[in-house]
Amino acid sequence: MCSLLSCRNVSFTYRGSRKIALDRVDFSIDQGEFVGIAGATGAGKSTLVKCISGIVPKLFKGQFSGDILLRGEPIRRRRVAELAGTIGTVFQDFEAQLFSTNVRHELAFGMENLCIDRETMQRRIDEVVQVVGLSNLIDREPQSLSGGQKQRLALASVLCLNPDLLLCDEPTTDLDPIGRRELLDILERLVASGNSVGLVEHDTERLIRADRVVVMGDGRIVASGKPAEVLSDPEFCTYNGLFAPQMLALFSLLGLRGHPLSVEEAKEVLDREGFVPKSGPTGAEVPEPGGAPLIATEDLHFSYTPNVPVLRGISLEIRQGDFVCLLGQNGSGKTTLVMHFNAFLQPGSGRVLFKGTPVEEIGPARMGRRIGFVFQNPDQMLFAPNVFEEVAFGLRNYGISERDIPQKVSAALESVGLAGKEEVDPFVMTKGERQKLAVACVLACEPEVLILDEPTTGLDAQEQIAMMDLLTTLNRAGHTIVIITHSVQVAAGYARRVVLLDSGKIIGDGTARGIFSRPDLLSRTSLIAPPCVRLGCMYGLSALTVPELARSLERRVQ
Amino acid sequence: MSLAFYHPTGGFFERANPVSKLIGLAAAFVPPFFADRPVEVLPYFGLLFSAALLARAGGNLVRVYKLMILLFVMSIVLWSFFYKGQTALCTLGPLVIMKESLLYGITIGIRLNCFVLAAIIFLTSTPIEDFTYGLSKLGIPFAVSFALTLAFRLTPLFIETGQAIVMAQKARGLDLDSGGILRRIRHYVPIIVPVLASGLRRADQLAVALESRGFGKGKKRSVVSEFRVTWRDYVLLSVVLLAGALMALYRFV
Amino acid sequence: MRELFTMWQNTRMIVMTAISAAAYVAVMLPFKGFVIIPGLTEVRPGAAIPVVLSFLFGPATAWGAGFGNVIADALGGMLSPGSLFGFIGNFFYGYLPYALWRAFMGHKNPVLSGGKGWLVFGIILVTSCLVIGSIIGWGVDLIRLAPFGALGPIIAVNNLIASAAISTILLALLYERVGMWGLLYFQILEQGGVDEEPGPFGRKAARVGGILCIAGAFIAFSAGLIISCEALGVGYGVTAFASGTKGTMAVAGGMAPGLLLILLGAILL
Repeated sequence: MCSLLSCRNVSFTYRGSRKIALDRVDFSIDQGEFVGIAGATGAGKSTLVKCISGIVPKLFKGQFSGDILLRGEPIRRRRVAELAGTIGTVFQDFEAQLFSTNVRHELAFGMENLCIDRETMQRRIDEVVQVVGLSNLIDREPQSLSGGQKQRLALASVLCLNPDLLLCDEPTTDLDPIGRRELLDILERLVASGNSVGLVEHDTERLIRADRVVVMGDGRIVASGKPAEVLSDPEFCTYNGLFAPQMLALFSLLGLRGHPLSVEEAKEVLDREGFVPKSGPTGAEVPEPGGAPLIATEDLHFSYTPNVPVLRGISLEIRQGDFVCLLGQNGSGKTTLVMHFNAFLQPGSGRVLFKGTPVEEIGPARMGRRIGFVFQNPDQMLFAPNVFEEVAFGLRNYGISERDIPQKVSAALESVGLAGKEEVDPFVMTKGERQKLAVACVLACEPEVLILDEPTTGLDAQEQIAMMDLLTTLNRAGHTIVIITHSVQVAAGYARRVVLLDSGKIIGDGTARGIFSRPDLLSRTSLIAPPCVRLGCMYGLSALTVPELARSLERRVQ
Repeated sequence: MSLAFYHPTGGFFERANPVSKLIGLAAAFVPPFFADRPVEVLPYFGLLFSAALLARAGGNLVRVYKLMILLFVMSIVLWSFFYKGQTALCTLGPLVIMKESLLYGITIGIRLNCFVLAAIIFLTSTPIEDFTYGLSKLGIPFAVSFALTLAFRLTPLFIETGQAIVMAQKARGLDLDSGGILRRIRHYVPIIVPVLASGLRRADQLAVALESRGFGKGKKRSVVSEFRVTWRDYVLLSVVLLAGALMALYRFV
Repeated sequence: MRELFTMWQNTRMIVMTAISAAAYVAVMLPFKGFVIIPGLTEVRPGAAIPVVLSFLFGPATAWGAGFGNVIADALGGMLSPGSLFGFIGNFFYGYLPYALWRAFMGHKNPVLSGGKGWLVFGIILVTSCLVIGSIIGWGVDLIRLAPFGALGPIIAVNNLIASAAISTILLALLYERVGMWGLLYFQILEQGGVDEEPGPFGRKAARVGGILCIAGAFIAFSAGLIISCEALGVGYGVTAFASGTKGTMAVAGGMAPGLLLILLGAILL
């Protein structure tokens, strides 16, 4: 039988690059199949997708060899635009896929290019908005939509072209958990109704529902097969930039066979195998830091536009040496809250104090040396010709003498693991390195508190672990750390204290263990606890990580 | 943040054909040139003002009234210098204010405000897609009018990015408001570079996403919304032409 | 100047046009800059953007700067007959820097080309700023919106200050990086198989065109200034024909020869 699409012995090297991006890859997707593609940053996933849709080598030049067949026909001679009706692609950056200032025109754009008649256009638009759940937003400006809605619009506009094969290149990376869930649910429904989908995705908890998973590394396919089998080895996963699905990882630690895909399945097997919780505490309880209060907010209210409150009475105290995680959905007010800490925003009512002094008396300029901010996207601050100048920029702004700068720069680079990279151009660094450099820039000014907005977004598993380990080390060295995240895994794995926000209010504040042992709290924010936490709860355990859970389960002696 | 003036009202102007609105806008710019004295241009200003109210552009007028006053004052000041008059009206220190210069400045000031009104009516009632649709129908190639649409779409995105970057750099101690003129401009380097870089990182993505949606497949395209010519278009164009004709008659006959 | 038209077949160049325009507006609108005369004139850092982007994206910046100006007018509620001249003026402001540089210096890095390079760069800056001042000032004077004597010099000087202050720094930070990403205009055009040698009539003709543009800029701008000063009553009586006619069409007529030189030169580039 002939596959819908197959790549035979495909290799590609980008022009001007020495590294081979794809190395003799054989890959195929059958009609109606759902194939997951995973791997570390730079493994070649994106290049593979670009080859299939003809973008490589048509729009990105380089050395290409091999054959790509669509229903047995080679696609080499066809232009990207000609393939548009056959192979649809959704990309990571939703902002770069929307070209119109109105949802209806956005949906029509592709069909207009393919010269489809007006009645058909209208019919397809009506169908597709139903599928992606955008019917009530048809006359809106894309700019006014949330990230998740924008990505669904990008998907919808591709679906309007009625492609035989749908490719999605990390469509969920920039989305929050709700947006991610909604998009993946739509993709699964599409597969259920007979569509063929190729999905590049980091979230292995979702990939286990694919028909087949392909793991790539260094431009090659290193594994391919049933998701439960391919992803069952945690070491293999981490090596390839993935977090192993937690239930599979747990079974592998417990030495159990079987590949449970859900928490319920895992519970069933564990019960059958006679596992029970150990007596005694689940893990070491972290002591509350006894440091002096650094930042305090008192009944803080704030709104950008009248009658749309963003913060509704926040009272919070952050102590010296703490590692606080502000957890909540997009729009819960996390970023707005921290913007008050160094007087970027003025409270509508209430007060913000730094060591007992109202921050507006200190002023944003001087607060900058006390509270260091690392914004979500490191690219929004990097500009200098090399790493040294980049780190020195802040120091110079604060009037540090030229004599002391080299030493402070190298100390900061040393502590983030970028020592000796002074001469490197930040623009050629990887996303993970740029993120670290952003931390170094802020660290160099020796702030008392370090605030990071979504420090793990867009990083693969290895990079995420490196980033969070770096923050843990800095915290042990005495830095007070506040991170903003919507990743429950990050909060569970690293924070000492979790502050749960929902629509501008604090709905939970305590140790990570305390917060995650109360599923009712999380469900109010429509975040979902990591599988191991949920499984632990079924046993009455408050385990935060897979190893913790594994340690606190034992076989009942019969 | 809302950048555009357009807001859907479903009124007369919004339902007119974009092509006739574009022609109407261009034509509406002409009559003020037939007037050399304030009295001659005022009725036209009144006409446009009532049209603006009909287009429910009141809210937008509130947004630009400062600009309108500013234009008016600047015209009087500038033309008092650059337009030669004969009749001295009064002296302000070393300056002699001439009657003709003053009247000319007032005329130009009203003329400029006529342009503002015409533009506001157009912008209030025309979404960008209709605007570029009109341009295409007037013979502008699709690639060109599309680039303009895309620029409109990207502008608020770039402005947002710019604001985030300003925030990020201020957090690193950047002080935009210190120093002399050259230093102050140079303070913007750490802002402009990331703004451009973030745009450039998107450039390839945009090109790729465009082609994957069939952009550039062939010369022929279809259009999702087609506009017909209705009574509105005849009314719109006749009113503009009539006003122009009357003013031209008054001026030249 | 062929590439101004052939670029429309290249998707990346179309995207670059939109990006140039959006970046121009995004830096121009919110950052108010240094006010010299409140309400009338201020030096905005954004005024340097078309010059910088011209070296990077070439023809896309010419169109982008023009579009950016139209968008800024539309967002400010100031779409007027003057917008047409704003478009043309900004178009030349985004067109001349790369086109002149290419005619005299080829595809060399504009900030790493030694003494001769700096000289050419300086001349390009002055020429482009005079041209945008001349075109917009001439246009608004022609339709009697504002006198050339006020607007022309203001635009030219403001743009010159802004671009002299940061264009070299920005190019030093951007040129090589954009080259590394393969997004310099000649890289894109070459990838798309478009021949982009200077000028429709060869390199020599392009250099002649460049000189015409430079000369035209100075001639047009000084003519405008002299005639306007006449109207101010501080002239030297060199333009006898201006005084009799209240200066109505004097600026328009007097600047026309210089502007025609610029146009002719631009076609040869």
